[in-house]
This record gives sequence, C-alpha cells and structure tokens, in this order.
Amino acid sequence: MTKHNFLVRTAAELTEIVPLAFRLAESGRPGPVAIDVPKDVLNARVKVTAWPEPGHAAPLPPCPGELIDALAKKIAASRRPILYLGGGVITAGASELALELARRASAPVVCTLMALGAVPPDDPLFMGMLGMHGTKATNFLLEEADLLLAIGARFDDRATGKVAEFCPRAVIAHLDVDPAEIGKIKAVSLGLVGDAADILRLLLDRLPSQHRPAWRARAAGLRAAHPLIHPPRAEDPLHPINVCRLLGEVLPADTIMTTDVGQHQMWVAQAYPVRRPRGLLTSGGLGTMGFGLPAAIGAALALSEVEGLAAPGRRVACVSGDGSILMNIQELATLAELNLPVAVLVFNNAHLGLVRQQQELFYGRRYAASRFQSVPDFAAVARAFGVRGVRIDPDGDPLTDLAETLADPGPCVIDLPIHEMANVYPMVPPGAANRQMITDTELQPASTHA
Amino acid sequence: MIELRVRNHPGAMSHITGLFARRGFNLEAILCVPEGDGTASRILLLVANEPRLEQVERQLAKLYDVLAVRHRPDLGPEFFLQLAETTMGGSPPPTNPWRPRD
Repeated sequence: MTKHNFLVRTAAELTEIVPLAFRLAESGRPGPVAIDVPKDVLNARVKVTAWPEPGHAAPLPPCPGELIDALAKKIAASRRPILYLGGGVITAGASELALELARRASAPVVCTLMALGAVPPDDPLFMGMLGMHGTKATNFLLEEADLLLAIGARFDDRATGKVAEFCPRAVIAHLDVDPAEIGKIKAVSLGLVGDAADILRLLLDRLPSQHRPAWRARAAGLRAAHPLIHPPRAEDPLHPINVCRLLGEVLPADTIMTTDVGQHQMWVAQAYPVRRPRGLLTSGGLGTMGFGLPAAIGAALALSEVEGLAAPGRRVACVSGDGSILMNIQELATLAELNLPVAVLVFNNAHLGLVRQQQELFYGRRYAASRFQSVPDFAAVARAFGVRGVRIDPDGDPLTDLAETLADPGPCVIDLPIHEMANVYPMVPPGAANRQMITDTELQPASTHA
Repeated sequence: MIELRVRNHPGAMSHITGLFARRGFNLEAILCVPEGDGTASRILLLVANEPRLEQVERQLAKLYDVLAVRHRPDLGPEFFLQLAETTMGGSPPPTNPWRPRD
C-alpha cells in the first residue's frame, strides 16, 4: 500500500527518516510512506542541535529534447491522433497544457477514471472515459486512431480491455514520470520520462497548429450516434444516470465530488460533469470501498483552510452506495463533530450492485452474497449520529426533493432508492476487446425496459 | 542471474522478496552477504529468464533500499549448485563472485 516503509530503530534516526519519508512520498509518482515508531523509540529522549530541513520532492531529470522533437514529428505526421490521459496529468498540474495540445493537434481526448476533470466535459474534443464502462463512441474511436499519446496513464485493464486488441491501428507514444510504466503493458514506439507539464510546455513550443476537420467530425459523429442509453428523466427520474445529470445541474461548478466503489462510481464517471482537475476524488486501481466519506471530509477540511475558497454554499458531495457507505459509516460521527458542508448521497439498491451485475451477466444469474437481506434506514442512521438524514420518496417529485435537500446548508445524508436491478452500461465483458461492449438494449427488448 | 546492491537493515530483504512474491515470480536461489562496513549488502538472485523479468527488474530499481541492479551473465545455476555441494557435501567452493578480476 505504501511506496516505502521505515522501521525506526533509534530515536536519533528520526531526524533523518522523517524528512526522507516526505521526500520519497512527494517524488515521482506521489504516494504514502509509513514510518513505524516502536514504543521504546517513542519514549526515548534525544538532543538535537538543529532541526533538519523539511523533505521535498526531488527534482526530475529533464527529458531529452530530441525525444520531444520526435514526438512533435509523430503528432504532425499522424492523421488520427488521440490523447489518452491518466491521473498523472492531474497530479502533474498539466491539465491545461494537455487541453492546449489537444486543440493544437486536433486530437480527441479520452480519459481514465482518474483523469476525469482534466478536460472540461463540454469541450468538443472531450470523448469521456474509455474502457470497460466508457461509451461506445469512445471505444470505437480508439479502434481508428493511428497515434495514441498516453500521458500519465498506465494502460490498466479497465481502460484497455483485451490488451492485444487495444488501439490495433495505432502507434503508441507514452509520457510518464515513472520509467517502469513505459512499455509495461503495450510496446511503445516512443517513451518520454519526466514531468508532464515540463514536457508538454516544450512540445507545444515546437508543434504548429494542425487542422484535422475530418477526424474531428468523425469523433463528433460517433458521439452523436452513440450517446449513453437511459430512460428519459420524466419517465424514470431516479435512474442513476438521471440523478447524476441532475447533480451536475444543481451543484455549484466548483463542487468537489467524491465516490466510493461500485456501480454508483461508474454512473458518476459516465454522467456527472467533472468540471475541473481534482473535482472528482475516487479510488481507482485499488478499488477501495469506504473511500468516499473520509475523502469528502478531508476535502471539506482542506477547503475550509484555504481562505477565499470556502465560499458560502460551496459543497462537497459524496456519492456512495448502500454497500460502500457501510464500510466507513462511523465517520458520520466525525462529520457531525466538524459540521462540514458534506452531502452524502446513498444510491440505494439494496445490493452490492456491481457484484450482482457480474453475477447476472457472467455467472448465469447464480446470485450469491450480493443482496442485502436487511438494509439499514440510512436517514435514521444519520440522525442517530446528529447529521440531517433524508429519504427521498420515489413516488413524489424525487428530483425536486433532492435539489431542495441539497440546497440546505450543513452536512446531510440523502438516501436515494434506485432500481435494484439497474446495470451499468455499456460494459466490456472481462477479457474481451473494448469494441465488444454489451448494452442494455442488446440484452432485453426496449419494450420491457423499466 | 541478477545482482543487487542494497541497504543492509531489517526489512530490506522482505521488500525485495515481497516484490517477487506479489508478481508470482519464483526465486530459484538467493545469496546475500554484507559488504564493507555492513551498511550495504550484495545479493545474487537466480531467476527464470522470461519476458516479464524486465518489469520485475524495473520495479526492483524503484525500491528505496535497492541501490543498484545488474545482470550477471557470467554466473549460471551451477554457481548455486556448487555452493550447496560445498556446504552439504564437502566439495570445493565455487569461485568468489565478487573477487576483483585480474
């Protein structure tokens, strides 16, 4: 779980280990470092003549200019380039530069889950999330690319599907801060190691503007032909896609969204417009259920400490599921204590929904341990912790009720009853190529659609 | 055969062997000896030569406790066999893999 862990053997070592731990944590791909302090070390006394300098990220070696020249040439020579952005773009603070590159090169942008927010959701070049729960348009467009430029992405199996058939027509260029990522999953024709912002700045200096009207039109055409399929709002207001779209309409543009892990997380990724970098905090590769509420509390605390950002009405929203929220529900006590503007929305289908969905689609509907026989009353649980709790009535005007509940200040838990059997579509079956997406309509006739 | 130079302290070996275990990569044989004043050690690892070995080596190079990674094509599996026969069967010892070359 950590990049490194130290076992401290004498108290004197701490003056070296603590700054070093911060240096390791902040360098390269940032991540946690653990320092294990035994009780005898904790109780020991040491004399220190001067405090050590705090540890900071080690500077990265610059990427050779000829590699950046080569990348500029490759982009200029390509006809159908795509930018494939991962969370590293956001970590590097390179989102605006990546968008500038996309515009300069007329390259559509696909994002991993962790990169959502790097590019404005309404930008004409934005193709949304790729991979297992990406839209058909996104995955089809990747089939046609002749150059894939991956930036801060690691070719995770949720993004690539069957690796051998991922982007079959594309040569791959990969820009990453971690040399071990280059060529790890897919062979690359060009690998650039370094800070994404530095490299993109140098790349933009030497890349002329390129117009690719046919390629831009192809991307727009695929997007128009393959939207997310879901029932209209009037017919099914509490369909999760409709709820996520409403959240995009009623929450302020600078809202920080956090999620847990499961179907609700994928619906947010598909339908909630993440409007800025770090606007979505979610657990990616580690898939940590229980992440959302503590992350939301942390984000709200950080906002309240940054003067000027804690504007009245600013909210942190945590979308969770009835399974995930139970993993760290004790943090409602922390939320009550700190009285932070966090709204917790529980997409409640009385199931471990993504497990149930997999059992339905790939295990012959042999459901096991995915249904909750006893579902807690989450609004009552919230009230027991001293937090406002509301259960949305599906039979009234649920979206108006939801918007009104979100408009009230202070922490709250909102229990949203959603369909027990709703699935996340499209879906690439595990092990299949990304073009082999299954959708709702292929599984059941439109007439029986709920 | 891979040779590592590593920091010599409790936990270093578990970081290295843990990396192999997590990636389902078998360590066929291992030799670890401290060098100089004991702050660093040298490790010889006998591993299967398959394509994913390169990724294991890159991940090894990222470990804070690993100071250097290099190949030792001059040493083969017979080195460890000879070592085992020396300690268990009284055969003559293998050549010191770190003896300065003439």
